[in-house]
Parts: sequence; C-alpha cells; structure tokens
Amino acid sequence: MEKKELIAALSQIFEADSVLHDPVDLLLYEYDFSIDSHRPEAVVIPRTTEQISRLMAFCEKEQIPVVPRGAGTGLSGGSIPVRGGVVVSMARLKKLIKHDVPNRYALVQPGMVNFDLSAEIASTGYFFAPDPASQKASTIGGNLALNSGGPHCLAHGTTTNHILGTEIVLAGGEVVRTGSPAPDRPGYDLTGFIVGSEGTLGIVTEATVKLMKIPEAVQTFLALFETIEAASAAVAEVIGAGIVPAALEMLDQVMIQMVENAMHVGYPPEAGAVLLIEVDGLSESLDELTEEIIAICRRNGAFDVKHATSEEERVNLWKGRKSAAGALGQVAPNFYLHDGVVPRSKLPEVMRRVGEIGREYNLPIANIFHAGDGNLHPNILFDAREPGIMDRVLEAGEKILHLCVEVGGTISGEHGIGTEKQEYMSWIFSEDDMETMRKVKSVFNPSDVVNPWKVFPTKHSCGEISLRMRILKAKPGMEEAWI
Amino acid sequence: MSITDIDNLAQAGGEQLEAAAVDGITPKGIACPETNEEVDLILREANATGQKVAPRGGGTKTGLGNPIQALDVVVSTLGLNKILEYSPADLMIGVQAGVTLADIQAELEKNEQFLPIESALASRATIGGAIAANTSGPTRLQYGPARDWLIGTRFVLADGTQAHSGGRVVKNVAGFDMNKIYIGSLGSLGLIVDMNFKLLPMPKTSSTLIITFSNPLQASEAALKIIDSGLFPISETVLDERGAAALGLPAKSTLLVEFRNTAQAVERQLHDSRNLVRSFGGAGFERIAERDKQKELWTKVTDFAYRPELLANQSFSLKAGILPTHSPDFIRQAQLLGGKNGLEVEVLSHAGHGILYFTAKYEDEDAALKTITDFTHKIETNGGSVTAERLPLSLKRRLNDVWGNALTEGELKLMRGIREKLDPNRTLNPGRFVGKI
Repeated sequence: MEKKELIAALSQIFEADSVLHDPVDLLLYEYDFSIDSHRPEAVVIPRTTEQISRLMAFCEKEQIPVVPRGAGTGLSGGSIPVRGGVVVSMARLKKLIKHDVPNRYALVQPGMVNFDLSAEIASTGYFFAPDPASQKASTIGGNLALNSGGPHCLAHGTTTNHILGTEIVLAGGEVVRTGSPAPDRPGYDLTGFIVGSEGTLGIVTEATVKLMKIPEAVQTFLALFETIEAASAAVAEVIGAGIVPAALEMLDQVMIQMVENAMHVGYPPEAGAVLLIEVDGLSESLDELTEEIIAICRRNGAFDVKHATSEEERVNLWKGRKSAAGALGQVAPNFYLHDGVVPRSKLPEVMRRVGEIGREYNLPIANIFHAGDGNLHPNILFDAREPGIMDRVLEAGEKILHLCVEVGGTISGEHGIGTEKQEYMSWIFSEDDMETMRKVKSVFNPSDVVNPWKVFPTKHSCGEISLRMRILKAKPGMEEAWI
Repeated sequence: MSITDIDNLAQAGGEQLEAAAVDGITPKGIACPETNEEVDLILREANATGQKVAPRGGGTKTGLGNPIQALDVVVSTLGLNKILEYSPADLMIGVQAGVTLADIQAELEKNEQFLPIESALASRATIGGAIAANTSGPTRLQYGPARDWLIGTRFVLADGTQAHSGGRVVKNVAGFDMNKIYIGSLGSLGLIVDMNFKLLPMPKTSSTLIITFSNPLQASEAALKIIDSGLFPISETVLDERGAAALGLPAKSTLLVEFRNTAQAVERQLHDSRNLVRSFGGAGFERIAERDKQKELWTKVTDFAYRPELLANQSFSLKAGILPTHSPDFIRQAQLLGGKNGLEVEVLSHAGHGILYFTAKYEDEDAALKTITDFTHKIETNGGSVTAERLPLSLKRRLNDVWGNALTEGELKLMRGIREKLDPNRTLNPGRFVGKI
C-alpha cells in the first residue's frame, strides 16, 4: 500500500489532529531509550477503543504492522516499529475511569502515567504499588506490557501481581475483556498471559489494577561500604536471614559520586558502595527490623549508616536513586544498560565478575540496581564517537548477561526482551519452549501484525534485523532515561 | 521403562483402577512415571493412538470440573515426588508435581520459611494438583493467589513435547508468562512436571482472634473495616452460625482474624482490631497464640468445603469469587436460598479477599440444583463467578457448566484457541475444563 493510501485510510478512522505522517512529526516515534530505532509510516493518537478496533481490523486486513506506544521510556526496543507501519500512541487515553476503594481496585486507561494514578487517589489512603524509576513519565499500559518492576517490587511484587483485568483489542479488531476485580474468574488466566507480552498480543485499552493501603510508617537509610563485594554480601545475608525489606537498592562508587555531583542529595562520595534500604509497615515493627538489617550490614563491613530523619531527606535519597541515569552523562556521553537477574546468594561473585568484565574491555561500568531481588543494572559508559567502541560495548554487555544465565539467572528482570535481547532468548529457552509460547501468541495475533519481530529470535537474515547490525550508531539525549 | 503399549502399563489391580475413576469412568490403566521422559513417552503414545488421559495427583480434587467425556489412562504424578532444589538463601524452592503441600511446608519449616499456597487436604494434595486447580486459602488476603508465587513451570504437552516457562529467579520478564495460563488449567494444557516458587520467611509471631457477632453481615463489615484502618491481617474469615458449628466452634456468627508480625506489632493490631470491631457489635474475644492451635483452626477453615461429614453424605460445595463489599449480601443470599429450597446450609466467607464457600447436605436433588443455579445467577449478575467445586456426579451432569456462565464469548474463544493449539487432539481431560473444552 502506498503511504498516501495509508494516510487516506487512517483519516477515515481518525480525526485530522490524530494522524501524523510528516517525517518531522514521525521522528519522535522512531526510538525509545534503547539504542535501536526505526521510523513508522504514520502515527495515530486515538481517543476511543472503537477507533483502535477499526484500526486493528484495517491493519490485519492489509497486513500493515501496528505498534502500541506509551511514553517511550522502554529500554529494550519494545515500542520501536522495526517493520515500519503505524504507531499507536496511547497518550490521549489517560483517564482514571473509576476507583473502588473498599474493594481495592481501580479502572484506568493505559495512557495514564503511573505516578498520576497514585497521586490522584492519594487522599483515599491507597496507592498503586509498581514504581519503576520511570514512573513520573511511563504509563500504566507500558508497565503492563513490560511487567515493570521498580525498587519496591521486592516486597510488593512486580506489575503482574497488581493487574486484575484488561480490555484488549486483538489483531483483527475484536475487543475482549479479561479478568475481573472479583477473584478467580473461571478459565485460563488470560490477563496473566497478556501482562509482560510486550504489546505483541493486541492493544490493551483498559486495565483493572489493584490498590494497596499506604503503610503508616516508613524508615529509609543508607548503609555505607568500602567495596561493592561487601555490600553484595550484606544483601545476600539480609535475604538469607529471611528479611524482606520494602526496598533494597545498591549503588557503586562511580554511581554515588555522579549522583552526588549532579543532585546533592546526601550520598557519601567516599563510600565504595551504598545500600539504600527502606522498610515500611506498622510503626511498632520498624525499629526491630531496622536494627536487624543494620546489624547484618555492620557484620559485613558497613562503616556507617545514615538515616533519613525527615520526609525531605527521604525524598532526596530516592531522588538520587530514581534520577540516577541523568547523572551518567558526566562521565561519558553514552551508556548501555542491561538488567539481568541472578539468584541473590550469587550477588557477591557476580558483582566481582562484572567488575572484571569492565576491566577486560577497558570500559567503566556504573552499577545501580535492585539488589534485593538480584536484578542487576550495569551501565557501560562510553563515547560512541570513538571508532570501533560499539562492538566492545555490545560484547561486554553480552558477556554480563551470559554470566547471569550461567549462575542460574535470566536476561531481563523488568526491561523486557524487545529487539535488544531477542537473539539471547535461546540461552534460556529451547526451541520447544519458544514454539509453545508462539503457539499461544498466535491465538491472539495470528499473522504477527501487532508489534512484529519482537521477543523471539528472528528468522530473518542478520543484516536485515540483528540489533548489532542495526544500531552501530549512538543516540543523543540519553540523559533523560530511567533505570 | 519402555512404553510400547499403554494397556500393558497398567500394573494396577481392578480396585486401584476403580479408585482412579473420574466422573464414573474407570480407566484401563494407571501410569506412574518417575521421570519427565516417561511422562513424555506416555503422553506421546496416548496422543498418537487416540487414548484419553487424566492427570492425577493426590486425588483430592478428582471431582472438580465438568464430566470427563472419555478416559483411557490416568497418569499419576505420585512418582514425581522429589524436591529438586531448595535454596533457603534465595528464598526459592523447585519441586516435582507429586510432592504434597504438607511435605513441602515441613521441609521449609526447618529453615523457618514457608510457601504461601494453601489447599484443602494438604497432607494428600500435591503441589501440581494445587496449581492445576488454583487452590487458595485464608492467607490469600495478605499473600495473594498462587500466581504471585509460581516463578517457573516445566510441563509436558499432550504430544510429548517438554517445555518450560519462567525460571528460578524472583524477577524475570524473559518470554511470555506461560506460568499464568497453567495455573488453574486443570490438566487441559499439559501435565505440569515441576515448578519453582518464591518463598517467604516465617513471621516471628502470630496470633488469631476469634470474635463473635449477632449476625454474619456485621462480621463481614467489621472485617473490611480492619483492612481499611491500615492494619495488615493475614487472614479474615467470616462464618455464619452453622458454618462456625461445622468447624467445632460455638454456633455463633464469627470472625476469625490472624495477624503475623513482630510481637509488638501483633499486640498493637490485636488491640486496635478489638476496638474497631466493637462498633459492629463484635464481642466474646478469644485469642489463640500457640502456633499449633492456630494451625489446627486454620486447617479446618481451609478444609471447609471438604469436611468429613460432607464427604460422607450427599452434599455440594460451591466456591464463589465476589467483590469483598458484596460478602454480607451473599452470605444472606446463600442462607435465604437454602431456606427457600429446604436445605440447611453453611457459609464461610474470606470477607477480605472475596472468596466465599457455600456448602449443604441435601436429599432432594431438584432442590439442590435450583439452589446452585439461583445462587450462581445472583453472583454472576453482580460481576462474580461460582464454581460448583464438589458435588455428586448425577447433580454435576444436570449443570450446564460447573463454572457457570460468567465468561464472555470473546474470552471463551481465546480459551478454546489456546486449548486447540496446545492439545489439538483433546487428549488431556476432554470436556472437563471451562466451556467443556
């Protein structure tokens, strides 16, 4: 189909202000925060589920790729239209449709920003628990597609634990509601399968989400260590002792110094590593819990512990954590980030070996990660203008992920596979595993027009599709990413 | 074990075969594989020769589901009975399908840890069966359903293909989350052979409060008030008078609440909840602090739908999934409908999370049928669903679907599609699952 015909057809479904096709307008929609990019033929910004349904019917009939997009904060290429086609921006579907506090759920449109939901219902004393670092920009729909995590998923679980139902438009345009706020809807757990499917099954147009009571008390503190290995050993011992804090985050020295320079939030630049620890719940339980955690940290070499004594200090400590990616630019213009996961008992060994990989490839690596659940975030820092460096960066990243798999972990804890890691899927899944997944996917999206060529290894020639071949270029503006 | 002919597999005698019958159909053989490869061979052979298979764990939920349409071989998972990997330091366990829930908990208890998944008759119920039937119990209020704890699943498809989903780490978004569709799939998508779970540390202290009320509606409202006040009850279970008596408690409307935390935090919650429930007429507070005594009480709660006197008589057990605020109304509806149809009913409502059990012995099958269909209809028109979880075959045959009519055609179409893709010959449990797929 000619582009002109495509635009004419889209104009039949959407208002004039909802169809973008000028190359300048399309630029914004060609990338997310991964290092991949591809431009769509058109972008639509629907106002209703009905429009999406008509679009999906049209695209299925004409076999035009259609790719849903939230805020574009994804880090693995999930919202990039790698085969071109139509990008569906969910930006206008951002309403809180309903909240039912006594039954602890809310009905939201997918374009709603994660943070806005909790802010809007704060006066009820309830909140939406998933808190990816991107939460001030990323959308509930995007969180749902990626099964996002965040610092507090250590205690509260990831997004999938908080999605009770969806309304989804399937390839072909059929609208189906799955799940319900009441428990144990009969049949297969369609909702559970849709969450984390990276927008490859259909376009979710509503989500029923769980609300949780805001805990009455919270304590936040930093434990300071001389080395990242010592801090890792403390994390392993905290978990091994059967303590599950609300959050347990780690920053290494490179990260601490950059964050402190950029934001002055009270991180001690002299520390080799810090643990940012939060416990929440009933006020009576917190002192005891905090004492136990601090004792374990001290046993493992913590030389100091700094408590947030006011809400402002607490917010600052978290600001340092959640806005850390912006500080990376001080050391290098570019960074490459992975989010492999390892069993928590393996953290000390793995962090030592990540350091070795950095030295082997002569690349600085800044670590800031969800230590409590073993979810690493090594940021490889580099300057893409340096000839030949991308190969080294990609190889070092690949080696770190391989290490995660080798010790019994996985290649992504919360960022998704997207296009970035699809060729690594075979490290952890057999052809039969993936074929089984593909079979179920085909029930929702039989001809792969919805977000095609994602998650699974491609059967196309490498020159056409492989990430490594496509992305040997760097992207400006990475300072706005979240990790 | 070499498998050339499934009929030769059945080493079991006639009595054992009869005991393994599903919905009145006695299998020709029982296979008891001890490795995944044996499961693979058995299913492959059955699938290729058109024989129908019913997987079986501890046999505690054999009555669940619509009447099976045909059955040749029962595949027992009891030979897959090993704990494969237990890493206390990672709060993770990997188990084969045939291990009983009780055995898993006993192993974890050695390290003061536990798996927050419950099932009736846990000493016989296997973990594979609990996942396939998506069982839950009172602690679901705080810990959530099984889907929040299963992080990896290995299964054998009807054609013998072995596959897995997830892994052994607590956070993992690689690949589609197949774990979820196997939970509650009742063997219709393949035989689950092993699973990995997240675990929790055993809380330091726990206490259970038994509070009585003049009616179960107040008990139900008090339960929600406790949650909304910011306390964190682990379980909240409301019993009507007959329900309480069935558990051996005084025949009064009762609310059972359990708190787990540090000693101080438990004390504070007991104190606060006493004050809160007084305005709903709560009285007669009894506190149980001993772990064993609490366990005994909560086990009875979990086994409510499978009480010995129900199993020994003609009876049914319904499970409803409702919004928590509907609990008072549906406790009442259950009592009214039972009364209208001349049945003596018992009601147990996990008022905080919306699972409600309704049990009754009966003599008149027409009255039982009418009670079930009327109750199901009332719940479905209010956004919930009902599973006729345990009932005699003759009554089951008269129901259109033991899961009622809650699902939309759109949902059913997707479910049929998934079943068709993973078991195109309908080798596994034909007709038993939702919509008789």
